[in-house]
Amino acid sequence: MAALGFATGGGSWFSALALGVTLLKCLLIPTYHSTDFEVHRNWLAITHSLPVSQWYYEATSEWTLDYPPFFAWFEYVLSHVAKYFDQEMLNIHNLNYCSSRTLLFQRFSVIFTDALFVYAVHECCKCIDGKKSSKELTEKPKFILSVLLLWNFGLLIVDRISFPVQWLFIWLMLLSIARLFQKRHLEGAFLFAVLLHFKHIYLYVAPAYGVYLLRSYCFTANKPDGSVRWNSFSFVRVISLGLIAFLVSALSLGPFLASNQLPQVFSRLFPFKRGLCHAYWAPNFWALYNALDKVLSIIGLQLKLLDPEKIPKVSMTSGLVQQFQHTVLPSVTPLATFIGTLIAILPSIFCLWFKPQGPRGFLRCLILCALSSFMFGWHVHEKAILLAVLPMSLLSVGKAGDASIFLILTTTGHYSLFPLLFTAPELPVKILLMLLFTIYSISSLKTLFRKEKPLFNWMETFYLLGLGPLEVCCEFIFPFTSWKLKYPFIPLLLTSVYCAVGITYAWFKLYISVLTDPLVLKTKK
Amino acid sequence: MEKWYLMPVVVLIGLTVRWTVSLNSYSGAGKPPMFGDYEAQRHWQEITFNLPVRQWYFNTSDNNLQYWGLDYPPLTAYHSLLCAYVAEFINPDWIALHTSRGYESQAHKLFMRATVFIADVLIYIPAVILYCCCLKETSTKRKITNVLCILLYPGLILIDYGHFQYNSVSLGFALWGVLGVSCDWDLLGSLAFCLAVNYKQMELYHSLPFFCFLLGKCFKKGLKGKGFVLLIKLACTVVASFLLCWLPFFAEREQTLQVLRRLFPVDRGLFEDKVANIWCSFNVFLKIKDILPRHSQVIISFCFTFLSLLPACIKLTLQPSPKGFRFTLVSCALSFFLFSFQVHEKSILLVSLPVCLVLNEIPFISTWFLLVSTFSMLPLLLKDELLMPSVVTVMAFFIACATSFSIFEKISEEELRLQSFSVSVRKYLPCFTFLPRIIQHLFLISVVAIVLLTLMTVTLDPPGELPDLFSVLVCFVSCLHFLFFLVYFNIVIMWDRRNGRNQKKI
Repeated sequence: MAALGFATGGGSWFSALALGVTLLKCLLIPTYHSTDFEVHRNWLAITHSLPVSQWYYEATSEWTLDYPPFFAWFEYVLSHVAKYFDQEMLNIHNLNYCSSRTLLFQRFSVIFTDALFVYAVHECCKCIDGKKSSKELTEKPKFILSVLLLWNFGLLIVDRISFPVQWLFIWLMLLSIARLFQKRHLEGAFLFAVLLHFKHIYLYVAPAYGVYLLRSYCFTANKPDGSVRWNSFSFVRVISLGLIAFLVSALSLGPFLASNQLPQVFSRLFPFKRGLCHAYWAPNFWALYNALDKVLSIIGLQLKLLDPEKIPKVSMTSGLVQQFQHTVLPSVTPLATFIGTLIAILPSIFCLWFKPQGPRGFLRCLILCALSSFMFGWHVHEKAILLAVLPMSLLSVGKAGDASIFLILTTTGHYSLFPLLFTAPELPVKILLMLLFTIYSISSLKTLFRKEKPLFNWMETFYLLGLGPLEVCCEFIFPFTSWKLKYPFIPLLLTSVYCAVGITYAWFKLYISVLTDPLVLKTKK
Repeated sequence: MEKWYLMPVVVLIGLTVRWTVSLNSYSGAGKPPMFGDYEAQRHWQEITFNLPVRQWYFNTSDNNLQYWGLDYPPLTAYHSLLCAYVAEFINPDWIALHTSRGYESQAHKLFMRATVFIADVLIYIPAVILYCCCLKETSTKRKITNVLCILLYPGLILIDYGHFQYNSVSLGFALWGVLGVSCDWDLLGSLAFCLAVNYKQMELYHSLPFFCFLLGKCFKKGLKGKGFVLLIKLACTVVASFLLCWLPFFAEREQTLQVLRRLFPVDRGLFEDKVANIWCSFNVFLKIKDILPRHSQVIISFCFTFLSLLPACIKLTLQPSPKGFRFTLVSCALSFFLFSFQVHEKSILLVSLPVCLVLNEIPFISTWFLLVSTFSMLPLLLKDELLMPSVVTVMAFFIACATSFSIFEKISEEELRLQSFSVSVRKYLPCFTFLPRIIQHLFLISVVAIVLLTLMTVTLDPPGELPDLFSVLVCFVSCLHFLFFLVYFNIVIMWDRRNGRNQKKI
């Protein structure tokens, strides 16, 4: 009795929150799942039935293994559990196989890896300084932060339809951030190195880690004006960091290097054959660019400035991942996006070097890196926005300015995930969950910062409120109009352009706040 | 005051759980020829839309009463008609006469689920919110957590959104009735309750407390002055609302009688299937259903019901108070469930609703009761393949109750409302101090029994000669629980006022 009471009683609100979200996920088991389900099944089959040397050569299914080796090993481990559920799903040639037990296995693998994520959130909540401790539980920053992370709408729905492993990545990232906050730098670096070999998309935030560790860990002291003191460089620390990075990479890529497969692995990991944008445009800079191109080409056609014969007859949002030719504006090459990303990242990196502000500054830089790569990257998937949203939650409970950026970013970012769940039975689920998260995040942060200036100005309020009518138009009115057959892509286009505006704005605002933030001189102990 | 923003959050959680449960299977999915309650509701839409009102309750060539004939009062029929008009607008095939029998499709399921959802949002949920906001002497936070716990009650969610019924409509009306009567809007309250009775005749389980409470109020105001006026007004409201609902059926005497015959099918026996009441449990030892003639079954069940609810009702009439009213609602509904004729296992929801209303006052016992009530429907839920959502929602409900009311710390005599009872027992038996501890142990034993029985039912195959072994066991165990709760609630009711007087004396 006492044990039961302790487990569920008053103080352990955290476990109640975590259990609640786990139960919600159990309830979501019968919902829609996307092709990612098949991708994942195929990878389980590949790693289970083939020797390591053929993992990155196998191409029976179109969904070849394109994640780094650690992830492949993770699948390998999972597959040994999977065989007790349904042996058939581990057959490579069993394309598009889906039994109820397979589904159950995949769903449960998500729910169980969840436990790790909960642990990471717990660690993150510990490193939030509770200077604003209020007596009321629901107004404590820790409580708000854990709800924002655990009940994150994006993770909930992306996980439903996508790999059971987003949690794993996010877990590693949050945990490594928490370790850096706790000054356990080596652990943090190790976790990040492992993360990179799980999913290489996190390369985008690697600069933030690199510079921060170099500046704040390898250089042990600062000059009084905050600039670096060159003679405080610690070789031991650099070597230990290097050793960690090297060992992890060796463990991961070593076997492939030994059998001379590295080029093949890399060709799978970095496929540049896909288009600039995903089938549905992620709401980033290129969405705006594409939209401008479309508008210009339509205007051009109206004014007879363009020759209709020369216009490529490929609609960008028709549903296939393909190369795309811009009509008016110059076409974008992978190199251009790479340079764009680099230029966007650089100022934040400089800022991190010249104005070190401890872990908080690092976190801002990391978010900027993630957001910039989302804004300018090649073939960005819309769910990549979660890379920025989740770390941003950590910042949001600290300062009113950050909270307002967070709310704009999260709300638009989450709304832009709506097209991922497009089936009718799930429509109420996504709307309800989105409302739940948005109402909670906005009102709890408003309550937390009620003594400071209002979080939104009239323009931002107007923009956020506009999401409601947009949703109504796209999903309730548009399907009943005659345009549905002629221009099926209009709702997607509208959603992505509208959200792109908000995300660009949030990115801009965050950048300005980082660049103009006054340098806080830390008094050395 | 700033905590009110949690209210929409809590309501949204309730709605999300409701909709996600509705993605699961429904009763009789893909099981011809009879299907289940889902098909019954669809069939009623078909009947009410295509046939004239005169034929709704009659066996005709177009309306085979053996195949899910309409057996609820007129308001249900009107609701079906309303849904049928929407269905006709979306896809006429769904309600085509004869040809649509056993119609099943994804789109149709979505439509049916949406009708439940909308009815719930319009009637039940606002009533719950308003009820909790009107609670006296409770903090904002407490009110909000109370809403959460009531909205998460798994029994109602699973039956309405899994099994498929519209209980939230009748329960919602009844709740509006409770709300109105407790806030002294007696006429509106009785109107709402009449609507509830006219939606499902099972709401009659609640009718006696309503009657006694209102009568008691009239007595209190003095039967010669204001009380009499109130009584006349109430009588007029009730008669008028019944007249309005039954108007099309009053044209001929035969019509009215036929509807009544459909509503109270005496020839269907003392109980059906497996239900956790006295008769079904007693049936294990003695087959009363076969031994006694039908009319003596009716008489016996009536006598038992009447005797068991009499004390609480008299008490309420003499000392009407909103609190006593809520407790009497529980005990009366429970008496009906345990002893009355032709009880269905889903009728336990009628007891659960008033228990939800006292959740704030006696969280420990209420949570326990609500868990047991869901458990008592286990055989039904398993038949509908709702195991997964059942387990999940029960756990969610338990966690919500445990964290928001910290129920395990509230097991003192005072928290259990057994103080005055214990005091009076101690006059004769001075060492009577172990009651809370006994209840605590009973709770642990009961939880273990519930978990074990659930596991056994799910994993083991029953022995060949006793195919219903587990479902009978589930009913028997739940019945024991309900008997205990009946005794408990009667004790609380009977010793309630004495406590108040003692305090006044001090």
